[in-house]
Amino acid sequence: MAHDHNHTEASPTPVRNKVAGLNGKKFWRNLDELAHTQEFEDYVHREFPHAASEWADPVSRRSFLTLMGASLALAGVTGCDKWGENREKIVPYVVPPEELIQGIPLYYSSAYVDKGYAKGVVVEQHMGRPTKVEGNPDHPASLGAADIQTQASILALYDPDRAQTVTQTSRLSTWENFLNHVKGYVAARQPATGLNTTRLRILSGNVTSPTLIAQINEFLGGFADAKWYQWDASGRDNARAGAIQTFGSDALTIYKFDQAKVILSLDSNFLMDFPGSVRYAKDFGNARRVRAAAEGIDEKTDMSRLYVVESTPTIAGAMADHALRIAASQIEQIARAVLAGVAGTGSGEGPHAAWAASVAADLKASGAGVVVVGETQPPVVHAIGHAINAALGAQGKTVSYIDPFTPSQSSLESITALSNELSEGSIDALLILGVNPAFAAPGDLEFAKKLTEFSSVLQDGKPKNLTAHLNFYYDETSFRTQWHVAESHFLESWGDARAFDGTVSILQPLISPLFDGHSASQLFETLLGRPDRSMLETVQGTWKAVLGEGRNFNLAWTKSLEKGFVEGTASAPRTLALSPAAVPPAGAAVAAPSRNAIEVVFRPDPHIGDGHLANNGWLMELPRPITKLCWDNAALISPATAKDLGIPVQKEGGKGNEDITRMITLTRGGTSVTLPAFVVIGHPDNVVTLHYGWGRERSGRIGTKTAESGGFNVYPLRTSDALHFAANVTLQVSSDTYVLANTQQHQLIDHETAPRELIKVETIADFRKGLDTHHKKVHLTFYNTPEDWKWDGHKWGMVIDTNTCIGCNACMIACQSENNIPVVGKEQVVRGREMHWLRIDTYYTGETMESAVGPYFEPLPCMHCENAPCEVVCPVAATSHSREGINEMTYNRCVGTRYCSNNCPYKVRRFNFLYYNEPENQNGQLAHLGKNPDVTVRERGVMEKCTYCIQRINETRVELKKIDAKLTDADLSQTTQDRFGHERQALMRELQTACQQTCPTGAIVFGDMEWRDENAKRSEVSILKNQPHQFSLLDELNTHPRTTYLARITNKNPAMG
Amino acid sequence: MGQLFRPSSNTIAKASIFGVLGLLAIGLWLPWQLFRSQYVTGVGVAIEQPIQFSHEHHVGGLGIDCRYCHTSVEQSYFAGMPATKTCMTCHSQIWNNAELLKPVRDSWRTQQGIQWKKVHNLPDYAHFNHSIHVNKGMGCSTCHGEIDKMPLVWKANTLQMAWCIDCHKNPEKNIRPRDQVYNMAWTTPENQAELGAELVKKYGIKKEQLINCSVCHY
Repeated sequence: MAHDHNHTEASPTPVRNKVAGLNGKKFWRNLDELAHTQEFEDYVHREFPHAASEWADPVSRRSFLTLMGASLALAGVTGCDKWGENREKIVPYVVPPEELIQGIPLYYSSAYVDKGYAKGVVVEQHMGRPTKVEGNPDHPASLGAADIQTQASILALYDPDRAQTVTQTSRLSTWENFLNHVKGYVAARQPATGLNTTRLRILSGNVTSPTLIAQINEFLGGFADAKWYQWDASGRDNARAGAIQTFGSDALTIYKFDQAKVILSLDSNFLMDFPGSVRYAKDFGNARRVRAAAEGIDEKTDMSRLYVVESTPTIAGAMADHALRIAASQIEQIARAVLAGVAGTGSGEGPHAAWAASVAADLKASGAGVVVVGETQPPVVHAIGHAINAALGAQGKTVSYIDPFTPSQSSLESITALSNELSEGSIDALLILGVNPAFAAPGDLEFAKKLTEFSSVLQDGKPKNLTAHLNFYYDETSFRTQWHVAESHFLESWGDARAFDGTVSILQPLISPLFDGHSASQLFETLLGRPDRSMLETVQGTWKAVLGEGRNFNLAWTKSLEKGFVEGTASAPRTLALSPAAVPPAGAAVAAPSRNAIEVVFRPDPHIGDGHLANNGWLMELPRPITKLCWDNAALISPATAKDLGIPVQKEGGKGNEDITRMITLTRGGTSVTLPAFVVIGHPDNVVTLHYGWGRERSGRIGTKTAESGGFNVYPLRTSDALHFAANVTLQVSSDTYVLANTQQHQLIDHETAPRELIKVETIADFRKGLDTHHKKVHLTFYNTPEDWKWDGHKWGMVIDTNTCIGCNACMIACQSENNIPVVGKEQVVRGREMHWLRIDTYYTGETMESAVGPYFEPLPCMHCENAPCEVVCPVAATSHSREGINEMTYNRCVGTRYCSNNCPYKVRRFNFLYYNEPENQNGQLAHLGKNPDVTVRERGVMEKCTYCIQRINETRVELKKIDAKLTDADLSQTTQDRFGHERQALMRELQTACQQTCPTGAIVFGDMEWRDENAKRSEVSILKNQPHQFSLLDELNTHPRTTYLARITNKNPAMG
Repeated sequence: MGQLFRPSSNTIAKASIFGVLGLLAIGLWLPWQLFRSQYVTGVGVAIEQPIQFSHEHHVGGLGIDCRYCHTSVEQSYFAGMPATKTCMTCHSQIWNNAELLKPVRDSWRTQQGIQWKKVHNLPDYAHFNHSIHVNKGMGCSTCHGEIDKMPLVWKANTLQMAWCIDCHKNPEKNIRPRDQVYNMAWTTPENQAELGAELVKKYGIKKEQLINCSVCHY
């Protein structure tokens, strides 16, 4: 420790012990903090550690001055002719579009399609350009929330790396050429009578679009030997096989987590991995939320209990009351033990039998239990899960089953069959729609090689076969097919798709295709010989059959577009009975993994999935939920395993910010992958988690692997016999190192000198006890004192419920999208310069890393302190305080001293060290089309931070004031006055910050702390400020933050430890 | 020992002291004047446009209301520039062969917008909202001057922040009744101070909030 004088009195150690005893637990964020290393101490005291503020690039002083001189000289030139041609132009429309009032955005509903399933969205459009995607408040799959992929989908529309036209073996071509070629090829194999003899195969992902399904089936009907394969690298083969084993036929499972009192998750991250996860998160949040009774809300002190057994730490495990992290191969034993306990057929076996028995007892006793099984687990565990649900009588209560939307197929069988057909040459034509098998197919199939060979076979000097790839990007598969056709974005096309529960959404375009892109439906409509039929007519054609013809149709169609979904299309639940042979008897016990027989778990990357979203800068830079890694993947291992292998768990070397980690080589059956190891607290021992989807070869400027970033391809290790976990993998540690970008230790709040309550965790028992003595009446603001600061206008505040925050990161992306926050790239992230205004801090607690508990999530926006330390130190008054409580940031005044950031104890301020938003740095002018015009785009040298979405606040305040002014006019009819009154209420209710709007669980609540609606009901934020478990961060510093938190509540089973 | 300094040193010393002071004074006075000069502010400088549209004729002469062309001024932050179609509502019938109006007809025919030069131009970091001003009793002519007397538009005010803040601190000086906002002929009456104070109160204008930075800069 730095301080080692000998004081005669007030020695720090006894004081520290005394204070530590007060709240008992100490929370920490990373292992260096836990170990109190000297490096860490030094590190925390410098917000931007060594070299972070230095310009380390090798630009010599002379050339620097030359460049500066040149740019200074040129700087005045554009201003010279400000009266003439160089004056800024303003160019109106020739024919103004109807409905468009320039400056006011329009909102249209559509759906974002992810792995075939629709997520209903409402898209904000400025002057014809879509700028922000939000959840659709009426859509059952989201109820207004959106996850990270949905929010990030807008970026792809303006991606300069997206495919812009048709290419034929790397030469530019046209849509017409492509169609002519395909038609010619097929026509050459048309006999005089009968079906076409082209042996055609179509490979796509999961498709739920009724229009596209009908088109493809119609198209296939014209061929004698045609098949449609559906394949997904991270599909649901195990769930499907499990359902068939249990019920005799495939069925989709829908969960109702708000009805469940006890939930057991067997290796399932149901909060992020399912198509319905946004809805599941919302329901889960509703069940977990606790509230003390207050004016305006009822008391709610019961909360559900979550048990999680998982093979890699996920956010579901973080939310669990009891989490067990073990190897995937060992989970079946626990599942069987729970089934035995619930069915009353005895007890299970194995080291966790007692744990399982307690869980079973709890599930039974609750009367509303549910088991959810993840895709990593083999079909038998899915069958066990269904059996437990049946024994609990869950069907119709916490679980329901619906029919699959498309002909159910096994992904693996499909891709294997196709792969064989390619190598045998037993097909003629292959059309790949929107998937990337050359990169993501199981390693042992060698699909890339087979595809190349198949595409290159010549007959009479011309290609014998026909291969084409319709895809949004030119990727590894496009490189190996003869034709690549640019696909249009979902915001550029008409279409339809089903959500996880069957509800149909109509996709409507918000902008004409920016490039020469076409949708799959357009392709088939043309191939079916109907090139002149517009996509609107095609989609309407599908729905005329369902919604009726004529006038009724127009009404129903318009309503569906307005609402964002077609009413009454949710699938009806089926009542399914277990088949007697559903759960076969247990086989031989599988040995647990050991140091020399590592078990590897394969998971899709939480953000970029199977790799198809690798070129999305927002998703690449977003820190992963538990590991906080970005720009790379790593082999995740536990602290104990790392110690065992001799991999250092704390940072070794480096300049303070970087995570320099050791490379390890994993070998299985002759194939090896080498990638950096990364220690994750709570990871199961002797298990390595590998995220696939990384190490792309052809994925644009952001996603393609380079020596410094882009991750490592683990698909070669992922073979057909072990798509989810593989045993007996050997691990070798090399002495090579790699720098990983990890934001876990960025923006740390200094709490070494005195223990501070950075997050509060309490048990439900304590919460209930506290209710009796709770007389909390919080002073919402200290600005109502009699002195000159009395204010009768809005008073903005925010409360974040850490009990319902699941750490999904949706709020971070929503903020990035709304506020034009740039992507800075890996090198800058390593220096701690990531620009996210909102970050999610994860805290652990415990004395050693092996016994650590957590993580607990705490989103941290700007606190908008009433006594802001940042405001008093700005030499140019660029940051000031508004009457309404907002800590304002005036970008044009900021000169970049960074004193404000230095003074902020929460470290929420972000500085533009470089011109991150410059068009060249953001990959061209195209990206600027997607920027929100209501938010200033910041230049280099300017400080920025969360503004409580001041642009939305100002918009609402302006509208409210306009109404107030209009109400003063004479001779207003009562109807008009009433209408204005309703509008005022609606405006206040609809004002949400971007993070609040997208949060699936509704953990973030923002609003006017003293507002009451027309029924005098208080705003939600003021109710939450008065909850007994409300706390603010660092309030002993007297900053009076307007952003406060509700404590995390745990609901442990009293019968278990 | 000889003199170190020659006699001319006296003159140089005096001259340099006064010279420095003088230079300093000029150095401060010059930019002060420059930034208030017509060269920098552009006040009164008529901007040549691709078509010599005369507000004097259309507004002053024909009496067309501002909102006929600048349609979104009451709803949006952007007042709106008339589309070519708006010009063609009249000029497809009146003066439909005039040489002066050829660029309008060309624009209509080729569907290319007319490239007007912006007269009133604020930097992008200042988000000015027209609709709140016109709804709260700030007339068009208060900021834009006597448009109905301009054969070509020029800035009547500097539009510098100091000028905006001047009114934001003291809206009583310039506020007018809501029904007079589009009246070009309106002038501040004798009792503007009283009337202004009344209107500020009636329209719910919170003066203390008007000088918060985030009202315009966000």
